[in-house]
Amino acid sequence: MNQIMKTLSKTKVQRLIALVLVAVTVLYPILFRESTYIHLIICTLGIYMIVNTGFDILFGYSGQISLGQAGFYAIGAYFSAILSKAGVPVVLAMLFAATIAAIVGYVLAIPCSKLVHHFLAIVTIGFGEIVRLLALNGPTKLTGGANGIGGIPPVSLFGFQLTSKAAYLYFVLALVLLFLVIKHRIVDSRVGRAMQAIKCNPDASEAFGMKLSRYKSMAFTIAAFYAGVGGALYAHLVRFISPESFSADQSSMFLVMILVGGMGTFCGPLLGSLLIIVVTEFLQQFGTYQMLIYGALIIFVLFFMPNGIAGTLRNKYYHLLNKLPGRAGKQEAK
Amino acid sequence: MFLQLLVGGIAVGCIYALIGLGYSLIYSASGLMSFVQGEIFMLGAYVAFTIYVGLGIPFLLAVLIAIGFMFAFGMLLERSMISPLLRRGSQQIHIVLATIGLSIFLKNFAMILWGSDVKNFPSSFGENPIKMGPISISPQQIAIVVVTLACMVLLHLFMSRTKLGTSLRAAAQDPMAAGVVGINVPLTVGMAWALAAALSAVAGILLAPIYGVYPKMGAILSTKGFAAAVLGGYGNMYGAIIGGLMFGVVETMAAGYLSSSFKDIISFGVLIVVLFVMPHGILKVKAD
Amino acid sequence: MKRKLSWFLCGTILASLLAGCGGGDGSGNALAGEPGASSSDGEAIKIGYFGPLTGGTAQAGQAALNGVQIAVDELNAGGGVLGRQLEIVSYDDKSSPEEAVKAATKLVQVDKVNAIFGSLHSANVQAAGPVIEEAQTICVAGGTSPAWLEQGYTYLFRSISNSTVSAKQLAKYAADQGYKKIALFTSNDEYGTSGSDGFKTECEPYDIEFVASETMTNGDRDFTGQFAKINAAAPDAVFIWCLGDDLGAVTKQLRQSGFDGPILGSESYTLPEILENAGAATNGVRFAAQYLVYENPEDVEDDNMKKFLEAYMEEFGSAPASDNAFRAYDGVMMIAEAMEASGADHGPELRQAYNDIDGYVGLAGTFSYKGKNGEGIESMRIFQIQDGKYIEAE
Repeated sequence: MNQIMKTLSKTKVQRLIALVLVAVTVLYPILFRESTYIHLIICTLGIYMIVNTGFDILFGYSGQISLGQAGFYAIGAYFSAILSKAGVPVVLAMLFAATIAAIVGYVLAIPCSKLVHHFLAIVTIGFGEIVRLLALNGPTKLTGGANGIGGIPPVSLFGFQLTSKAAYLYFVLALVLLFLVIKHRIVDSRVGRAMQAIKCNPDASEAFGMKLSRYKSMAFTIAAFYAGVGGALYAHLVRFISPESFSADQSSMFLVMILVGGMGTFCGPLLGSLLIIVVTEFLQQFGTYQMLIYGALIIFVLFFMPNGIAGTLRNKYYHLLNKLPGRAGKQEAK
Repeated sequence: MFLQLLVGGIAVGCIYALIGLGYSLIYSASGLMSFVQGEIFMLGAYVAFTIYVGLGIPFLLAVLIAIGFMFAFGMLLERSMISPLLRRGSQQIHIVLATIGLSIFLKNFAMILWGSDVKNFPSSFGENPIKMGPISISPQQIAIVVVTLACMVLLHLFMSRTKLGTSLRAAAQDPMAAGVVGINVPLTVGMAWALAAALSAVAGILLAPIYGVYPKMGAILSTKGFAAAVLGGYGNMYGAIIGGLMFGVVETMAAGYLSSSFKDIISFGVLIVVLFVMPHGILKVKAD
Repeated sequence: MKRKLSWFLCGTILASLLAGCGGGDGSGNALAGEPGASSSDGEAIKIGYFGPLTGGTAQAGQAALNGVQIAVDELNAGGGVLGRQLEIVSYDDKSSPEEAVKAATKLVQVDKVNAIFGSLHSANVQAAGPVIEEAQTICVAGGTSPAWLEQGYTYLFRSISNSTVSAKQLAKYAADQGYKKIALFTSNDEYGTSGSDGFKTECEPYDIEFVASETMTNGDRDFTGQFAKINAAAPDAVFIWCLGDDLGAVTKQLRQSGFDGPILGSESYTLPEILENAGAATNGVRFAAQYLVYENPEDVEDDNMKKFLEAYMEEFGSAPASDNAFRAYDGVMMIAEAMEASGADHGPELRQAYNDIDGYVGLAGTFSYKGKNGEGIESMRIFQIQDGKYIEAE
């Protein structure tokens, strides 16, 4: 808590929070025209923002690819669902579930910290598949097997049940803000700088006495925690989970979001989540053709913004954007 | 039962190896990771299906046309998408994104053009299994093993005996130096993508009679082919073969002796353990 | 300068967010005002649809949407329902529960549809359940898993019998035929699991032993391990429960692995593509279903079905690729029936009227929903495949 307060005193963050508050107030009349649909979309957006913000610490700042974030997302969702159905207060269950995800992330980092690129990619793909298959084939009493878990209780806070999507929206937005601040703190700390140094030049960093595996596994743990929180939020939003929601497609969706937005930036993951969600909803009107257009659109965007949106903007206005909160530090030579 | 499982494992392992070879070729020639191999595999099967079943052209000719088509497709893919993106300053990881986008596009393209149902690709080698003592093998399985071996031998000869092959290897090891000695580096890189696409197409055509042809057919195989390539030592041709066979046999044995529900958990578990012990795969890349 | 830039970025976020909301509202043609506003006279009755229009089961989803279309066309040609025309609002759920929740929410909140048909995936129906219940909008679905009607939802209905019914028929059939040892081979998903669980439960009263229980993942094509185990157990029959896209390859490989006994299968065996893919391997397959997927209206004896197929082929040029077209047609026709019977076009009254349907004759047979918690039909026939033809097994 202390750390958060310390961060809050920073002007940059203050400005950002002010902005978000202004945004919410401005949007208020538009959002609250009794449209649960919009609330639902924004809740989902908030969840993705949290997951991707954490993923960015792992991928953008520490340079480790993961194609298994859906695994952590699933762990968060399943543990929170199971615990809260067993009578644990929902917020506690969520916290506990995210902690479990983080512990799993830490354990997974043991083999992963030695791996790079495609080796890391396949191990994380394998991890995601293993989690999904365990949910499917594990103890059916616990995970519900293929039928999933239904009737997950809504979040209750100080005795109020957040059954309505509008109430949940505030809860999610508050968490988004909290986790953005935490990311900002991490990235700006000694740990964050070490991660970036390792990403740019592992050998030199090691020569300076940094323990590569320590920082790498730290990034994994943090990203897993964020994904766990996201998964738990998802479980209590939809209130039904089944293994189908945590497939490899979900993992690659996280990757697409973060790459489209631009990795290693403060705004990139947020922008990517926003764009992908808005675009997929917008494309609904094209029926059978929507995913065809979606695929083409990704390629099209890349031709104009070869490094994602935030990445390309940053390269163009490098000196300006570098001063934005949570700057990515030195861009690698490539 | 052991022999039966071994035969089945080798047959499916051969397919993983063929797809894995494609990944390795692309990596060793351009250092890139492609996530569109599964869809190229699918597209190869569809093209062969359309020519063979739809137009009624004789099987061998149809296969040759399909492979040629996919070869050209691979070349086109590299020339018109990958290298322009690189020229525009894309990082490697954004090429991955482009291939993800392309794979979504191709899957849906196939779905719209051919429908999402499973098309029947008649086997040209007969349907009746051959009994050899306690085991029964389908003619298609024999074809898979034979054709895979042939492809590997041909690829080996191509890489070590032909001028184009050696220049491909040279360009992979040091593009700058290769350019200096007069090797057309862009052409050889395009060639690697084309060969990878052709290999995937071969795998697609071989598997079509067993799989049936449908838009999702590449989704699972591409992951396992990727696993094969990584397990063997990414970028190493022979590694992909070892990795593919190993993955196929482990998987089939797990399903036969342990539990089919936990088959994939076991094979991915083995993969993680192997990579934990050997972080660079079974055969380490020489030019690392 | 940097302040300007950060304002700019946040502005972009806001702008695209607004655009997104606008897009959401616009594409669905939102009706302003209260949910009841749509009951005003003369306005079209909206039938919502959500189901897979992209992805692996796109064709089944498209067939279902086409079925909805045929029903709506037929009703409109006959003067509409309650004197009002019908229109369709459709969304793709991409076979994903998350997308299904979004689609269902949009249907009830933005488009304010009167009733819904969707989805075909039981998990998607279950995910959308709370939304539908809260909005008090009836939703008729085509998923066959019993699970989603066991959750206590009152606005969900099923326009086909659930997998327990076919499991019961098949279990009885197996006992009658004297099969003592049965091997199970099912897909590793909601569909396969609910099928095999149902079958195991229904077999309990009979003297049947399960000698092997193997699973597969949707999309897998190497079953050497599983079939070696099944053959080693020497079963009298093999029970296969997996989705249509796998079924052809599974059947073919099971036969190639040396098993030539009877196969008890899921209703997906009605799909024409299975016969085409597996050919002679399908000889000796038995399955329970309400209807077959005919490719030619001339083969049909039932008048309703004949009329439907003719209309379908006239509109779309070919026979339905999946029996989901029938489920959807029945669903929409019964929604119309309930509207006419009660005079209500939405909400609890419509639900009550739908629940009161008794003896409606549709493509699947006779539906009666009263007191059955959303289930409407329980009759099924057992078919057998012989030389590429479906014949009714005794």
